[in-house]
Amino acid sequence: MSLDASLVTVLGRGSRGPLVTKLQNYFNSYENPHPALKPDGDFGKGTEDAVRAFSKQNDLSTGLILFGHESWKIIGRKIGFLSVLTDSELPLYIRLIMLSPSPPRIDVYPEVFLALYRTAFGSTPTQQQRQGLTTLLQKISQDSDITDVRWAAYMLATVKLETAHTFTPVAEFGCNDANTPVCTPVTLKNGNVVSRAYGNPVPCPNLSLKPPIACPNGKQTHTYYGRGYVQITHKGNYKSLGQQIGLADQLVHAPERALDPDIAYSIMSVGMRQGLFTGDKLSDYINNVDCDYNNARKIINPGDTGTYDMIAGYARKFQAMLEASLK
Amino acid sequence: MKYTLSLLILCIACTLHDRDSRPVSAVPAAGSGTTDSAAAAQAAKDSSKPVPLSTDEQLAWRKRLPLPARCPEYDPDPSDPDSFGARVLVLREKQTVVDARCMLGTYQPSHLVFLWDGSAAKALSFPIYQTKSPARTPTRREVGELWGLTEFDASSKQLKVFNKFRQTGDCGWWALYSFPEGAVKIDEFHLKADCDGTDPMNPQHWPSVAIQ
Repeated sequence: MSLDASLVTVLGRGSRGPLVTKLQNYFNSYENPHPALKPDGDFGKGTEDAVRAFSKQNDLSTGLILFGHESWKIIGRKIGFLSVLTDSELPLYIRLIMLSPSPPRIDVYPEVFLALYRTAFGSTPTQQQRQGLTTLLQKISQDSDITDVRWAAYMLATVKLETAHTFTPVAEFGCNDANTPVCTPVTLKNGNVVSRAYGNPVPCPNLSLKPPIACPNGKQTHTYYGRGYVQITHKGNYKSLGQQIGLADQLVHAPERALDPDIAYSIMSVGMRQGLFTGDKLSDYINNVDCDYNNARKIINPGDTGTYDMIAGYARKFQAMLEASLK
Repeated sequence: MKYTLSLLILCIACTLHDRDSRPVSAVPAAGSGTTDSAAAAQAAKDSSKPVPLSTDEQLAWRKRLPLPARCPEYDPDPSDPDSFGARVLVLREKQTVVDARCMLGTYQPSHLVFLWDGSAAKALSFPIYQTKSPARTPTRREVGELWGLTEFDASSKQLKVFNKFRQTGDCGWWALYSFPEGAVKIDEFHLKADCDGTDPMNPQHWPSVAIQ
């Protein structure tokens, strides 16, 4: 399924339509060096390379391969709003994005934030935690959809729990890509053989593509076990969330990419903002009239009442740390 | 083995009938599609695993259930053995437990479970134990929606549920339910509230909660 470029502001691999053509034309006309893209309305590898270069040049997330809200505004600033406003081919909502003032970013001094970690959580962050938190803070500062410190705080709290305090995208315990089948079964030290009720290998769909893509490491199957900051499982989640972040079916064909920090962050951000995991979203619990950290866990896992208060406690601490270290 | 063979014979007979006229409380039918046949064969080897339903049968079951609008439509993916829309456990004549998936969730789906008497579905609720900290005594409550990984045991007529408090699965609860006379009875409940990174694959041996 390709993205309908007339309906979404975020363009990525697989997007098609006149908005992609407009983007290709802008790149060819205004970017230096100009990428000489074929303005065919198909967001392919060439356009993706151009977006990546554009992102780097404009200090967006390194290697960003999606073209969204902030990118449109940069184009607006570069070529002048007047010419954009007179361009009737550009959808109104894109013109409004270009004209809208930048929302306040959650931009913090990482060293101040990290210095507060010990006070908040009682231990000095390890090198892995420092690196993981620095990466997350950078992605939050670049995320134009996260402008409420409390949303950022709850996301960090969720990552703390879900990644076992490493703040790094993780794979589910007991699962890896080196063995087939993975996740099931496992023989315990006491000799018992146990297995998850899911995590079964799925025939690798790559070979049915045109042109076919080799399955990783010559395997014939994928296993859609948990990967990421808020780890997703099941092929259906890899498919739907990949499409939501503009990657079309790439995560179905290469599920290990969900461990990439850029992709793992995008999945968490879009999933928590839009309620794609459970139907509940950040704005249901954290909004202009309320800040219900204690029930916000329903965004990720409603059945887990045991950790509601613990994560709420993390979120309050992260909120204080963020507010104290804002630039 | 004898029970399994009987099941298979009944299932074959079921697939020969017109689907709309087939009594839904009958023994679950084997998958009719080629993608389900491997799973059916596997199930036949293991009498504890119910014979899986074909995607058409799963869709038919979901139509009979009063699923709320918030449960998304079932999008069958026959290539994925972890994907399902409905599973059934036949208790006895005119008593079938139906497990219908609702939300896919982040890393564990939610389920609504019904008792089907041959003409109507009754939503079941399940007792669980919860605690806000490992040090506190767990308290009991009833839930109508089960979050976690579920599995029927066809030989013991039980439902296993593994609810992970986080995706790594090192904390959460594991429960075993049975359905005497169609009512829900909790047989075992194991709870590990401490997410300490240990023992993620062995929830049925976590500390046991005394059933009240």
